[in-house]
Amino acid sequence: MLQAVRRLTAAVTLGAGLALAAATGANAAVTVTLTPVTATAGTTVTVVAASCSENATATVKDTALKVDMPVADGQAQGSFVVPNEWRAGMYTIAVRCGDDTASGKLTVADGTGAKTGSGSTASDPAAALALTGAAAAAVAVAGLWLLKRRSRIDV
Amino acid sequence: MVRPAGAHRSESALRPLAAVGLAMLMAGGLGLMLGGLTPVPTIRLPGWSAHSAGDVGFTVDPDGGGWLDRSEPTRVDAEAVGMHAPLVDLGMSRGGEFEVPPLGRPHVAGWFEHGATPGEFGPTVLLGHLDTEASGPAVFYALRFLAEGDRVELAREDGIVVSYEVTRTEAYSKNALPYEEVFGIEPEPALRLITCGGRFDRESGDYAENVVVYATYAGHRDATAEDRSRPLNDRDDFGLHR
Repeated sequence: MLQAVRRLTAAVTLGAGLALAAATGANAAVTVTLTPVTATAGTTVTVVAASCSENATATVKDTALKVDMPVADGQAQGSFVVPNEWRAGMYTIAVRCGDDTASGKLTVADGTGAKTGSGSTASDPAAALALTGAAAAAVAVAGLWLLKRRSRIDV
Repeated sequence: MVRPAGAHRSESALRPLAAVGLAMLMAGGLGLMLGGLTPVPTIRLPGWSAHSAGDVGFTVDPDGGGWLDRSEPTRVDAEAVGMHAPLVDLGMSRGGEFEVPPLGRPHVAGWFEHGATPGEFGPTVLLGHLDTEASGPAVFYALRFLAEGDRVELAREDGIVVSYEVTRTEAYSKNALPYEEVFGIEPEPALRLITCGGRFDRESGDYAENVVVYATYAGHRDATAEDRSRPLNDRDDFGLHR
């Protein structure tokens, strides 16, 4: 039961958004980009604030998470690992850069991959391999038997 | 009857060689049989990246570079493999599972609405079935025939057609999908086409892997008359060229 709950919560896919939000300053608006835009428990998510020329911080709404984003080359960036406790869904990530604020959205998925097939075209490669092997072995046995028979006649 | 001594000798000399060859063939055959019975997982070396975590490694320019504003895609075309598929919008279930296109419409692919739209900065993600019970091969079966350099085009609601160029194809275990890569940004708009692959587990009814085709931005144009008259594949045509 506990495990089931844990698995459910671990299945949070951060619906990452390329969230672009206008800042209030007079300069070029700060924009927030998340990479990846979709994540799951354990994914390292990097938050980038473009047009931000000072150290910034990011907070994730409805969580205690706070991320330092040191500035370098005209953009502030920092990362965090999606905690196991986060449930699947959308998370808003708010960035403060000086007096400017902007936000982005992260999608958190359950981490199970996409179910994009029914198996109707699946061959069984293992069986094919075993059959090929059996055929080769049979040919070899037949060849060896012929060799042995010839040598018996010759001698 | 007297055999010429030379002929006899050369045949006897060949015999051990033939025996050795056949023995090797037998060993190889037995090895294949053993290999066939022992499941071998797809080997994947851990990814190596030039930049550390917390640093994307390039200047992020979501507004620059002439990228497009948001407009949803309506179809995907990959002439090289005969793929001409309509698109539906796909989200995520409440539990966090990726939605997939309806099984009853195997010729339809889907666009993941939490990613970028075509030509917009960020990763645009499409998902499509490899196969369905009723149809056999389905819309993204043809992904296996896509090669590096092939064009993939997405038409948008606003009438713009965005081109991408295939760069590589990767297969990942569904249990260890590298979200950082599959859903990560690149310096330019990016496209990811996702389907199933690897071994099919009859017990769980699911493929073990997701196959991801990566493509990068190669420009956009206003839809031409030719673009607009391009037919879509219907429910029993999935391309499958090459």
